[in-house]
Amino acid sequence: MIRDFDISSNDNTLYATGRCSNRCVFCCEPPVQHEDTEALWAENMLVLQRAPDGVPVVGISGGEPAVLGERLIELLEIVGRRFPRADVHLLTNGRAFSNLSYARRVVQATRGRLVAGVPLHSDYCCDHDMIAGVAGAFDETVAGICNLAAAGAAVELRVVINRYNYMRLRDIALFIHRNLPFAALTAFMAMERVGLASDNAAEVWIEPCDYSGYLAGAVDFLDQWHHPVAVYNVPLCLLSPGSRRFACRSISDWKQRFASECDRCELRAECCGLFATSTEPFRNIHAICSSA
Amino acid sequence: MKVTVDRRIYPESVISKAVYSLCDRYSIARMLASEHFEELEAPGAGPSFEADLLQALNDYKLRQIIADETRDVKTILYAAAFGGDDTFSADDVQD
Amino acid sequence: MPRLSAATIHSQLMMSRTDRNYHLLPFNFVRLCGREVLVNELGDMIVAPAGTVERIVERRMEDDGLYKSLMSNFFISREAIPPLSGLYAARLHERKSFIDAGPALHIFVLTLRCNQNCRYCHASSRVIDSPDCTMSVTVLDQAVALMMQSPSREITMEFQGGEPSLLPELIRHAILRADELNRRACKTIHYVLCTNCVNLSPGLLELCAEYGVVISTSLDGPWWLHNANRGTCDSHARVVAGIEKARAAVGHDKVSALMTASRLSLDYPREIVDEYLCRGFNSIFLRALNPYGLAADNADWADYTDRFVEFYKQALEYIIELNRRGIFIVEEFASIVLKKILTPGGSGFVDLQSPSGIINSVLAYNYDGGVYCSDESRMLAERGDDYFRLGCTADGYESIVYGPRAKKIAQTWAAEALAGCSDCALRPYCGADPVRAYSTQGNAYGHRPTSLQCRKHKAIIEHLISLIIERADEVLPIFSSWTA
Repeated sequence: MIRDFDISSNDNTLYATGRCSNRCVFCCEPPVQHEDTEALWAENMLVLQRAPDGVPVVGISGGEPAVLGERLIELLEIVGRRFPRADVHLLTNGRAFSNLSYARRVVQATRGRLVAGVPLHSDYCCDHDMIAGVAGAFDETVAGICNLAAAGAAVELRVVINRYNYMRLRDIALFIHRNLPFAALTAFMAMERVGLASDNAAEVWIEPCDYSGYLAGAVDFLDQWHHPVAVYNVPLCLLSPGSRRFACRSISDWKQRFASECDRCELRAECCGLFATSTEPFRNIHAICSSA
Repeated sequence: MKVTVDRRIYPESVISKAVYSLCDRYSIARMLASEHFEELEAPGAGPSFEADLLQALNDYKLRQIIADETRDVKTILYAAAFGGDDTFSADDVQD
Repeated sequence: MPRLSAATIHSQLMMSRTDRNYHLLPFNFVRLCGREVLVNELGDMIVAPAGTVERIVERRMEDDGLYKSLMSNFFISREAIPPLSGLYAARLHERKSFIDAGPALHIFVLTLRCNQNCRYCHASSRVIDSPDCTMSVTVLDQAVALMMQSPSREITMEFQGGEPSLLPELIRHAILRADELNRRACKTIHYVLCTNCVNLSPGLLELCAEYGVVISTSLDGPWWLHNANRGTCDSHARVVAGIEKARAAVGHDKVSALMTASRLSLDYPREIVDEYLCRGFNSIFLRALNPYGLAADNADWADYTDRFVEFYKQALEYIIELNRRGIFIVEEFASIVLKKILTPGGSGFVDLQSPSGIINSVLAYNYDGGVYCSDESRMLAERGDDYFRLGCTADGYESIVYGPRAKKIAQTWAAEALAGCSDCALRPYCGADPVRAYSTQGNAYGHRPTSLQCRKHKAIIEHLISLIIERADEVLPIFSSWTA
């Protein structure tokens, strides 16, 4: 299925590859093993050709786009020629950018308009490696984050909350404050209950209502130290009231849905809603009413 | 008040640092009693001297172990931070 | 494809998780509030139960949250050289980045003449009509030229005395000269005028407004306290009137005040803080007397130091209470230390650095053409001791900053290499002060166990850490608002 760019959408993304260098335990789109970059390249060229002018943000996702290696740079240059004023939002595990010269060339290819979204699963290397499914992933990811920032990219850190890291959310925030204070944004994200997150639910799944206290601690800490922070994919009713102002309508419009309870909710218009793709909804979804 | 210290447990450098750290509170005389034992005497000091001294000796011993074990890595990290262009250049990551 | 289960990955990685052959990274510790406070070279702090350091050293750590935190905060490492050594080194460099910048604070002691006669005067001032203690235009031009040779991109030009406002034409000359030279150097220049605010002429205020000069004055507390310290009956009224006049001319936020705690002040922490609030200041720097100049004749510094620490704690407690009630007021010394404890950056405060701020960050040009390491060191010179004299304004920049005297002083300016400091867990939060050591203990190396400066700094820094340990929820929101 080719998804064409739409000027009114908040999600115009090129899917670079289904391959990945990580094996994240909650991955909602488990990586493919076969070579798929050629076929997807052709599709992406078509999408770019057919796209309307003036798209403000072009996403590049996967899989791990850096699996493309040098061809990622080529892809970014093509995007740059097609949309000279667009920001490029790259979703990457960051590991390939532990090579500083690669990081520099990728940022250069976007003429400094790169926003890199990089998942950071833990402040503790072994926990991160376990969640990412690769020994040594943490060190490469953190070095990659530093290199991308040094090369001039804005880096958005993404902490996907799961059973293995929810108790360390505040420690993760402290690690970011001390070591990655240049991060343009830290986003704490709920898992999407699909793919491995659904298959491995017994091991990795944790309900937002069970971690909202830890999440509030981490969010408040970063905010207190003046770091931009956001919460993605958690409906407002599952956040502590103090955390709600950090929540974003983060779920792509084509994936968003609401539960029947949401019809009575006063905050529905500001809420990210639920993933239409989830195999099960979050527990404890309820309407927020000022009278209640 | 006199305390005898075994220099096989508390090396000379540890005793020196402990004595230095206490010298605003106690006037301490050091005497080598035998090959391994050193006597630390604080004339006129109360029993708190022994407790204070042992705490200082133990803490400085821990600090000494950490310092000894980390001497090389500390040199490497400082060289990387301030030495410029060797293999551990700070340029490998952010500014 | 076969899907990887988390359990498989987990078991594959268990090997490294239970491996207790970790390596130590450099850190130190201090016992506070029944806990061990661990501090690494980056200034990152971990508060742990008593006995933790011993367990770390003896490799008896449990695989728990504390173990993970020690690993992620660079106290221990899986490998002899931590895989993120580049990040570590970059942070270490950042922490000491002031060394690369070059001298940023340039103090111009335009004159020793003064129109007040304060009881604890730091500045060795002379009466208003004393001859021969005013900077000549030649010396001033040389000093400005030296200043412009500092590699620092940001320069602060501070006019000191005596009372510099007695010489408005000299201030104007200095600012215009710097401005002229800066057309090629293109630095950012900040100006500070240290004045008692008694004698601010409209012409001088106009100049200050035009160049954004910050006016820094002395206000010790309520009128009865301030006047008692100054030995006059109207000093307070004149300072307060001067502050208002200055604010009207240069803007409210361009006027700042400094207090010095005389012995009398030590009984009135709340009154002093209240005076700052009601004069419209939202910051106060609780400063102890300096044992320099005339002040060195005051007796019994040890007793004064202990009482000052108590005064400081009481005033800070009151300031915390005010902030809790929604009244924003910063204690500047705490804010400097807290920045070092709670954030990855340095503080940029020249009196609390290692290597110390003298020469690295500060040069002082005396009225007679002598170039000194700091304001305090030229005050020593007024008492006949030239130990910290680096040269004169006619000398070249290199011979002043890298000359034999600077090299001699450099041997005692790094806390990392001073007995008592090198083994102190609070070292990353403190600094070396060879000028203070020299003036109070007779040598620039100093003796920490009997140093009152050490006693005071240790007590205050430990107090701040204790607050963080015991009253985190209450104080951290306030402390973080001070470091913005």
